[in-house]
Amino acid sequence: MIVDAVLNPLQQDTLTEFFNIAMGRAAATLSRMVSEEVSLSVPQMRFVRRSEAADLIGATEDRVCSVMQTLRGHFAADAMLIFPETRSLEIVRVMIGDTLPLEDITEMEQEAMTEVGNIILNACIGTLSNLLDGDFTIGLPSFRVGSCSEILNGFRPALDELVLLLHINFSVERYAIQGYVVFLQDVAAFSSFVESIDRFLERAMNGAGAGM
Amino acid sequence: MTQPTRSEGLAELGWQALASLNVGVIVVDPDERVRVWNGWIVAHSGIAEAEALDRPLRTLFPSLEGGYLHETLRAALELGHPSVLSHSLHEAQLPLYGLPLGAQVPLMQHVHLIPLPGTPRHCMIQVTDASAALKREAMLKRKARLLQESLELQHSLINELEHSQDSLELLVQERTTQLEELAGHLQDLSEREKAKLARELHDELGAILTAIRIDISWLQRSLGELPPMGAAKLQRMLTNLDRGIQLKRRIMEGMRPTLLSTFGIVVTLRELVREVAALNQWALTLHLPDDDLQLSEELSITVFRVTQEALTNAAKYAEATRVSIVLSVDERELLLAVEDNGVGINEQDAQAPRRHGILGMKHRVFARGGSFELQKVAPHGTRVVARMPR
Ligand SMILES: Nc1ncnc2c1ncn2[C@@H]1O[C@H](COP(=O)(O)OP(=O)(O)OP(=O)(O)O)[C@@H](O)[C@H]1O
Ligand SMILES: [Mg+2]
Repeated sequence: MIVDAVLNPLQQDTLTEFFNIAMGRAAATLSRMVSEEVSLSVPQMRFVRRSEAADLIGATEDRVCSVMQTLRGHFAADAMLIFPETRSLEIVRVMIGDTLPLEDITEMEQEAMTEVGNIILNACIGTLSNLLDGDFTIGLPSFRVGSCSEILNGFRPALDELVLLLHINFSVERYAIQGYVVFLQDVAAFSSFVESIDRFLERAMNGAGAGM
Repeated sequence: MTQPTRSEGLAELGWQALASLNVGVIVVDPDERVRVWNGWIVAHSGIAEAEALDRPLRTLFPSLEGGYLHETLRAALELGHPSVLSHSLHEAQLPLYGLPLGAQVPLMQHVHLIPLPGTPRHCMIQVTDASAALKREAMLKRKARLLQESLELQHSLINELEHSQDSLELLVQERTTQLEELAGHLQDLSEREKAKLARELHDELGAILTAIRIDISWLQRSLGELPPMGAAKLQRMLTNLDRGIQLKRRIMEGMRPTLLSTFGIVVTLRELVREVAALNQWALTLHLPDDDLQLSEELSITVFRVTQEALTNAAKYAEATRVSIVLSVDERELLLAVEDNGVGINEQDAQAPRRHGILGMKHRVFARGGSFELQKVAPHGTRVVARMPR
């Protein structure tokens, strides 16, 4: 298993915990915004090959919504939030209280979806830049609808590199959806990425304190 | 005056472009002091650039203090997190107004918070007017709603139409039954009147004529030898009287088959058929019950009249050489079939206007709750079939 090659179970649990804390904050923000109980959690975090990620996220022809933000600086990566299209439409409509849903996602719904994605991604990126102790320029979120493989492969050359995949549970009211946050990074950046994680975890384990 | 350097020229152009952008741009420093306040923001806030520059944003827009936008701005300045604040999730985020300002119509806005690279970190607040998009969307939704409503209306109209079609059909059915009942009733009525007339002819006129005949016979006998003239007159009286009696009988027979009430349906039918067959020189096949049938008077009359009309038609149109009659019964049903081997009947003829024979047979049979059919016979000929409950 690839994850074992990169992180031991303890490291993996610790990282997952950090992401969960960040998600808790993002959920609080969203709850306040829409005056509904919003909950977000990361039940699982792992490194997988990009092709494997596409398989995990859904059948290649399933349409998904994605919100992407780029990270440039310490190293280059793309952070991507992916939700199944119809389910995410449902949830965004609950959040903005739309009475007459149209068949396609509207401009306003798209903006709202982008904002929700932005909040979740910012929380993940915040955690990650803390881990990596790096300085990044973070790009504005952009929204895209397409097939799973289009979304995952569309932005970068078709290399089957390792990606960091966070499984996300997202629920509002009685609606619950499952989505993913994917960090795609350059192959060159990958080893330094893993080194940074190692370093961070070492510090954290030694009680050096990891301000999130 | 010295010529500006190339970069000074570019910077100047940049400022001009920023000032005249059709989106709002505010740039704040880490202390949230305003560094850029472009023309669009001036126009929509009513705060002049000179007034805004160097002042903290929260003193220019006190309503921001502690709110979500302020919080996000802090995150942008401190962590470099860019943010999108959509109109759908936050209304009137900055106290900006549509033009003209005097109308104080809050501006619908999308806000982007974009951290600028460099130290210390500044943040650009970009504001776009969302009202056009909102209006578009509202229109789209209105149209969708109208469409949905008209679909619903169409649906309910179709339902109503189907419903009224159903009830129309019911009405037609009801009227048809009523008409059939009426026709049956009228036939019964006319049969009854004919029967009454026949009875009167028989009982009254018959009695009178018979009395006269007896008296004349008596005269003939008792007057003995008469002058030849007188004897001839008396004989003529008697002859005319007999013709009168014959005429009365013929009228009676035509109106009401007396045989029917006297001898019953089987005998009457056999007599009728034999007579007509002899007249037309038809070969005859008869399948009638051996014993007489106990039928109601109405049913007997119907059987008789239908046979009569079928035979009349056969005589008039069929050019047949053979005719066959079947009458059979079981506990529940009576079957009558009158068949000829003639030229056959075509559909138009059968439904020709102002022809009452076939229609009349049909109505008589329907009025008895039965079924009526005109069949083609191979190789040629016509069969009239009636089934009626007993
Ligand atoms: N047995 C038959 N063979 C051939 N044609 C027939 C026969 N019976 C009826 N028809 C045709 O069907 C038509 C309709 O018959 P129907 O008894 O209704 O009317 P009709 O005999 O012409 O007039 P009505 O009976 O009212 O005096 C006739 O005019 C004739 O052309
Ligand atoms: Mg006729």
